[in-house]
Amino acid sequence: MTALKTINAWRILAAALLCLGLIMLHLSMKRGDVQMVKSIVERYVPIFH
Amino acid sequence: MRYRPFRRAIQLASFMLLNVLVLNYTPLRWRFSGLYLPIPVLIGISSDVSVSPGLLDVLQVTLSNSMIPLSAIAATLIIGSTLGRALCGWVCPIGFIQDLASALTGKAGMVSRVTDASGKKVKYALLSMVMGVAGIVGLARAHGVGVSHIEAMGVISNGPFIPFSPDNILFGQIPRIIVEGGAPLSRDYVALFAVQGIVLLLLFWGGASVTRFWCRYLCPLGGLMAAFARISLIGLRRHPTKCLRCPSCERACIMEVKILGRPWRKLNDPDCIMCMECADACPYGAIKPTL
Repeated sequence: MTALKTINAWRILAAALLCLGLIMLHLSMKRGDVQMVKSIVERYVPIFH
Repeated sequence: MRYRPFRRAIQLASFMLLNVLVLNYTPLRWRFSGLYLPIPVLIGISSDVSVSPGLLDVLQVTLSNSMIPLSAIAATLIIGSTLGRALCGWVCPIGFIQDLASALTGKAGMVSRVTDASGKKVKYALLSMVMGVAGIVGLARAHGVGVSHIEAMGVISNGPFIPFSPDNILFGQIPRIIVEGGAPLSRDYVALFAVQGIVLLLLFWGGASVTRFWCRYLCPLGGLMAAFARISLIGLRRHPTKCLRCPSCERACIMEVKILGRPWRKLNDPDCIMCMECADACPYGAIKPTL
């Protein structure tokens, strides 16, 4: 009961955002974001040449 | 338990681990490769020694190249909703440098409440500008318009804040200038170098005069994570009977959070970086981390 009382709207929102983040992480891994970021970094570095 | 020695050890370890690629340039010739995961701290995307690009840099670069920054948004949501701005206090190398600057001079102080409240809005304005410019450039590129304007923007067209962020200057540009013997010091970038000089001055002089000057007032990434720190699962609890409302915690707070004006049950302030200096300073042990 005490545990239930401590669950408030902010915690539910934070948990919902966490779930959304995990879904997006899964999607980004499926899309190959790490490779995409890697290619951008390699193209971008060094910027002052 | 005192948190400060523990935090300093984690800050030092993070500083070294995040810049571990520097070993590739030593006579040992280690072969470390980057992770390319956006981490919500200030580490430069243009740095050859940093292990992973910072979240803010990835956001800017992907947006301005007409891509949806899925991994950066995922990292923002996951870290923001759980830890809030705790990584600013415990992991960020730029935060560590400022803490060192404050500790070395021993003169870092507080600013007036009005100045502090107004100054803290600057980081949100900077964040809006940076994201706005990156988004507009990305849209223009996607529709093939304004090509000459984008070309005229030069280095800032791939991330408007990247050339001015202290992480890219300290861990990207300065090591490169040292390694290449001043080769990148082109005359084309004189104005840019002048602005970068001002940024470094603000970082070191500001950090030595006011605790966490950059994080409080100028860090756009801090502004982004502050939006989540308000609702993050982790927070601080001030014991209602142990706390005698002496101002020790507020005096010790390096971000000047008005702790006593916040609810005792759970403190989730957008400027709280969970450094736990307040818990160390409390003579009654009334402040503890909570979920």
